[in-house]
Amino acid sequence: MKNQDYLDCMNYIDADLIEAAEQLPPKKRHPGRAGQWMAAAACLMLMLCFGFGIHVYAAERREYKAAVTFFEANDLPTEGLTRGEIKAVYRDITTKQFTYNKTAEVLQNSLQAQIPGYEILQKEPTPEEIESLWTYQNGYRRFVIPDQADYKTELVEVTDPDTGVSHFEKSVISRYENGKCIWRTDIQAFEALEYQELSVGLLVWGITPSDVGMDSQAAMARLDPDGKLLWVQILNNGFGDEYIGAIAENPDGSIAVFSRGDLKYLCISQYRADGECLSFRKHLVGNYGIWNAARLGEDYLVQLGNNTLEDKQKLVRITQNGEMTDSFRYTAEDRTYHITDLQEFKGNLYISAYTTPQMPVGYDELHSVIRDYEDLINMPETELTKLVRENYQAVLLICEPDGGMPQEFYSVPGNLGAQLNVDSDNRLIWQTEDIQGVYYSPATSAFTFGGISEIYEYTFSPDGVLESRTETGEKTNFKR
Amino acid sequence: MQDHKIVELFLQRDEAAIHACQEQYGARLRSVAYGILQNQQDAEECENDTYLEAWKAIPPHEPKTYLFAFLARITRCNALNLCRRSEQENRIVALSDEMASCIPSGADADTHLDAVQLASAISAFLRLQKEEKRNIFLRRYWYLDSISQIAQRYGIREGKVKMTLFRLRSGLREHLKKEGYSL
Repeated sequence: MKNQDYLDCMNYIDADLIEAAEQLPPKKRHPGRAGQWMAAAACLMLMLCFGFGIHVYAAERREYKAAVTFFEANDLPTEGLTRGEIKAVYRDITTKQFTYNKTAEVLQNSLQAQIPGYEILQKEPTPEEIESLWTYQNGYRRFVIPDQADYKTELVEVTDPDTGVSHFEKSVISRYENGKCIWRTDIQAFEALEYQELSVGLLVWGITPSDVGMDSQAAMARLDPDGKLLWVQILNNGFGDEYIGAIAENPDGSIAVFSRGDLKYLCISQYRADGECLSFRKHLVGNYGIWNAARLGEDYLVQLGNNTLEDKQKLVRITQNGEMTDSFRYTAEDRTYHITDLQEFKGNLYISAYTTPQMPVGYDELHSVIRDYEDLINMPETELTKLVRENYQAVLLICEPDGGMPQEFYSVPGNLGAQLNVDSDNRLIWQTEDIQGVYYSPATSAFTFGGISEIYEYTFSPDGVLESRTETGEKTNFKR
Repeated sequence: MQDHKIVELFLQRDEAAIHACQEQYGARLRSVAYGILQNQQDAEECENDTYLEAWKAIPPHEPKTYLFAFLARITRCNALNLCRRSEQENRIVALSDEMASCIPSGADADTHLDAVQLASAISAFLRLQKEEKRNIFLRRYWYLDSISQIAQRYGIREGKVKMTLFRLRSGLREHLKKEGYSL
């Protein structure tokens, strides 16, 4: 694509985004003469309140500032709210009470900004419903480990007060348990974007700061269970541009790192637990991103993908010393498999996926749902949801480690297979997304069918036996 | 008049559709064109061309819920083409070069990316951003505002606009790389 085409391609940006950018922003209020006198009078009164009065005012300012920071960090709108209401919503959420009626309104406005036309609450919400909204608001951005531990990464910028220019200062990694922050660690060397819990501690990875005008390099750091930074590694594999796609921990505590070099090489490096690099191999695979990786017996299975190609996904098998030995995909006679996650468990490889009807080349996964515009725009939501649900089936494949052949599988109609995790009791948790509330949105170029999915968890015992199915109460977006 | 009623007039080949568009959206379309062309006469010419092209495009298109964006896209396209033929070409080239830094480059010459797919990926990225940053990006690369115009519009310093755009372009580049897009 030529340079001049980039401006032309912007023509196809979603219609609602174009319209929103056309609107003038709300004017910043500056006090007029009367306002200035009022402000001066208020300041004078405050100055006269010595001791306790000033202390209360300072405390109130701190709380308000904390509340505004909280709103900004969680993309909650403050428009239309008074100072007191902002603080009240902040207290309601952070203390997990969810009894304040404005909280529901703020969360709904925030969600509606993300999902045009979506309306969640039809009646006065209960505290449980408001809490569910809050969890949904954050759920798809937050990785929740099943044993109630929760990590958060933030990128902190610092602004030069003279020029107004901001640049990267540090990444902050935090660990939460039951909503309480247990530790917080700063990393100055790189922008931390992803993480994975290891058998001992946490591995965090990302890229070197991108505002210094140079190509970004892949980087990673290991933290111990108390958040202490053990080591930082900047990958220097001779590429102009490299990023880490996935990692897999080996039984001896060493770490296999799968990175992508110059957008065409799949690389595997082995690092000791103390961060020393043991080996590096690269393979020319073309324009495929690294979507997932998991151990498969002594080897690794890596899922490569590119949504713009007809051959969207493929799986490659790589040995411990970096040799690529096999490349394959899972198929069935009349269904196409879309793999979403891989996890080693009890020596077998578990693959979470969803299937859709087999379509001719060039047709997308919802092709069987497509009807005339008038039919779809007038179709009741219940009927459209049923039509879309019939298109999907979540599957969990349990594959033997040597050849990767599925030995067993579970399926759930109307669902998408989602994340796989192993909890602290060594149980496998398989999440599925139960598609609900589908609507047709032809004007949106980012998706045509949108909706909300309810997240369910299927728990397998340490012996691999299915124990339970739980409705989590969490929600996530459905967009195709 | 509501968008779907105006579109119905187009579908019935009733010329009242043009008058309705002019009344409803004429000023906004001229503003889009003027922002790009910086010339009132050329902007008016673009606006008129928009109605003619909309007449040809509806049907088969039926933008019942997004008529302004549909018309504005035509206006923008016409304005850009007019710009490229005139002395303003340098400004367009400079903006294209800015955008080029967002698009990850690969050495694979056979890789091809469709404009619609790229726009879809950019839309998805923009939806992850805060509203002001999103609008700054669109004012620059959709409405082709200058840095100083954007700074004035949002009451911020020009340096902040430049850095916001720089970080958005960097973020977009990473987003497109991770999604498997490259050129």
